[in-house]
Parts: sequence; structure tokens; C-alpha cells
Amino acid sequence: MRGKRVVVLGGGDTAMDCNRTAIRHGAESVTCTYRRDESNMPGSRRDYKNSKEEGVEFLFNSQPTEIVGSERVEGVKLVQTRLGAPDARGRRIPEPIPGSEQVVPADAVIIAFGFLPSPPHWFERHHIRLHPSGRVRVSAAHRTPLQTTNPKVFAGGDMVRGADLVVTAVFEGREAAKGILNYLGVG
Amino acid sequence: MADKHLQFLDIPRTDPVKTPLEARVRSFREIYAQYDSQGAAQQAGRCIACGNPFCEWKCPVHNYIPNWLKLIQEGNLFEAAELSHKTNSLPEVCGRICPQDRLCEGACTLNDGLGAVTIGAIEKYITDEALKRGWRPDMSNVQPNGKRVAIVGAGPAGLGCADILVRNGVQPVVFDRYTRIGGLLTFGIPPFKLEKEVIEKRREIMEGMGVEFRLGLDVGSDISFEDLLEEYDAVFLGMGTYTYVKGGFQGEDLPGVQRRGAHQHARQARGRAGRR
Repeated sequence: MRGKRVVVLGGGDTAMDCNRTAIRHGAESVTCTYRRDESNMPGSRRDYKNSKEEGVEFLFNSQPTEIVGSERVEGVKLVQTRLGAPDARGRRIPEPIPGSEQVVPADAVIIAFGFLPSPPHWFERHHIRLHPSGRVRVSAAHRTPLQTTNPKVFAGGDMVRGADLVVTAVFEGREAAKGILNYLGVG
Repeated sequence: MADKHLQFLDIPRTDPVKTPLEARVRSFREIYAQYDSQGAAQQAGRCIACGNPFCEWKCPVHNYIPNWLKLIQEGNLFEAAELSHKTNSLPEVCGRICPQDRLCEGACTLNDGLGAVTIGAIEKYITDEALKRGWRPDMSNVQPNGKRVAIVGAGPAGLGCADILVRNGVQPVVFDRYTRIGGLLTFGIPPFKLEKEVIEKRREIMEGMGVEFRLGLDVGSDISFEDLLEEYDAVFLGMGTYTYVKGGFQGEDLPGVQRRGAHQHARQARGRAGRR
């Protein structure tokens, strides 16, 4: 990273961590791009503020369409966006503005778009069923929350909810433990 | 102070001191200093005990926030630590990295122009300081019941599960493929937000409570899941999410493009600490 022009793609907590790590590794510049506007950026406000203080530049309403370069990275092609109609979750969808592409030069690009479930292949053999998205199916039963489709197996955290906050993973681990205590008859 | 309920009028919200910018950007240490006991008591005393603890409801684990703020204002550190651990297995972690601005502090009644109580910084203070002064979770009433539960993954979900089980007499045995506990707390979140020593300390505390860790073992290859099901009374899975979301555009695989996150940090950690 030392002396490099770094471009970080994404506006979540992982992106903020990448921004500030790149600064500490001595990057010449760090530019963070996000496809919606500042107020819609999901990353923690404290980390956003600290990123800006530490020298990260933000490009909002900018969506990458290509990473350009012949032998290696030379830049990122970004298209300007405007916020359109809300999606199913109520978040407004960024729409590319035709003809607004520009290339931002870069020596290194970090993609920080988040994480998806990665269930191991042996779940199926043990009757642990998944949602189509790959998240683990769990019970919402009052006495045995977070029990999987294999009654002896409970699950919680990101593999059940999808990538989320640390505190929600802690919560689910604790809730699952209460389910396990009931399942074992020691609750 | 004429009326302690009006303390928020005299004492402004004051976050812990941050490392000056020049030093900060060259260091991987945490950037926020710790309150001293007087500073913590003053900031905790800004809570107006509004009677509508929206902070508590907005908190995903429903921490008893106004109650432990009061204990800190009164100087009852160990009681505050005990209470803080009633609802949260990793309060010193959440105090550091939760997005308080959209959880507890965002819901604080004083957040309307007066400056929310610094709930996160006080939460961190309580456990850091109590542990430093020798407080340990009270396990004196726990009766072992002979049950054993395997936990796959030593991240926040697995640690939360182990905490509740061990406090209820069940023996948790936590497996993780890495040689350190914490999962993303250790291999994902950078040390300038959460120093690795914090998680090492938590490991010591949990081992002291009776949690057993079996590290550097990958369930599914080093140990079969069949064996876990046979040897234990139940199994908890807290294995996280590890598939990178792709951009779906050209050039993603060019040299110089990285997908930063858990694996990157894990590689760094292996490079430093070595692994099987």
C-alpha cells in the first residue's frame, strides 16, 4: 500500500476499515466510492468521521462499472448515479446517469461489498437445511429459538442472519443457548 | 452541582480523548483513550433517567443502560460490571465497535441537541476498568449438570452462546479453525478499533469461567461433525459468512485488486503468529 493511490469500493463498515488500514500502511491517497449519497451510506458515522479526519476522500453517488488496466490495475471507471424509486426494503435504488463515466486512477483497488453465507457441504448430510440465499434455517419457537432442522443442532449470528453487527451475533448466541438449555431440559 | 438531574446542563457530552491525528495515522493502536473514574462518573451522571429508556430498547441485547450509568455515577464499578454482563457477553467489545449513533446513543433523550450520554465509551470503561481491578464474573452459584455442548466458531455468536451455557452449568467446548478466539473480532476488525489484547483478555476470563477452547481445528476436516454429534449433548453453529460479494464488472481479477476482509487479516495473523 505504501506510496500507492488506493481506491476502496463500498460504503459499509468493512470499507471504512479498509480505508483507515490503507492510510496506516502509508498509501499516497485513499479514495472511497459509494453508489448512494452520504446520508444513505451504511458504515458507522464514527468510522466515517475518523476516515475523513485521517485523510480519506469520499466520492458519493459513484458506482464502479469496470476496473481498467492492461497488465495490472490502472484505474476504476465510475458512473454517476441519482437515487430513484425505493426497493422492496424501502431503500432508494441508485440509477446510473448515462454518459457520466469517468476513470479515477488507482494503483490498488479494494473491493469491500460485504460477505455472503458460505455453508459447508456437510450440512446437507446432517439435515441442516438452508434458505435459498444460503442462510441457515432456524426455528422461531418460543422455547427453542434458533434450533436448526436437525433438532440437536442450533445456529446463530451471521450464518443465520446474513452479515450483521457484532452485537446481534452476541444476542443470537445467547438466545440459542437459552434454546439449548430448554432442549436439554436444564433451563 | 445544585441538582444532579440537571447535570447535563453544566457538563457537556465529552468523548474520550483521541490520539492526535499525526500519531494516529502511523499507528495501529486504538485511537480512543479511557475515561478516568471521575470522568466516567461525570459523563454517566449526565443521564437524566428519563423514564423511557429508549436506549435500552434500541440496544439489540437490551442492556440495562440507565441502571449501570447510575452505578458508575455512584462509583460502584464492580456492581456495574456484573449488571453489564447480565445482558451482554462482550460489553468491552460492543462499547468499542457498536454503531452507538444509530442504536443506544441515537435513542438517548439528550440526543436532541444536548448531546447523547456517551454510553458506548462508558460501557467500555466499565469492563476494562473492572477487569483491571480484579473483578471476575460471579460463578459462585453455578452447579454443573453434566451436559456438554460443542460450539463451532469462536466468534461473537459462539462466545455469547458459551457464556450463557457455562453460567447455567453446561460445559461448552468451543472449536475454531484459527489458533485465536474472536473470529472476525480478531481477524476482521482492525486493531485501531479493537486491540487484539482485548480478545485475549476475554479468552482468559471465559476460560476462568470454565469454557474450554479447542483451537486450530477445522470441524469438517480435522474433526468430523459426526463425532461432535456423538460426543456432545447438542451443537451450536456460529460460523459466520465468508463469501465475498463480487462486483460483477470487468477487471475484478486484475493484479492489484484485493477483496479485503476476514481472510486478509487471517493471513496476516498467520504470518505473524504461525499456524499449524
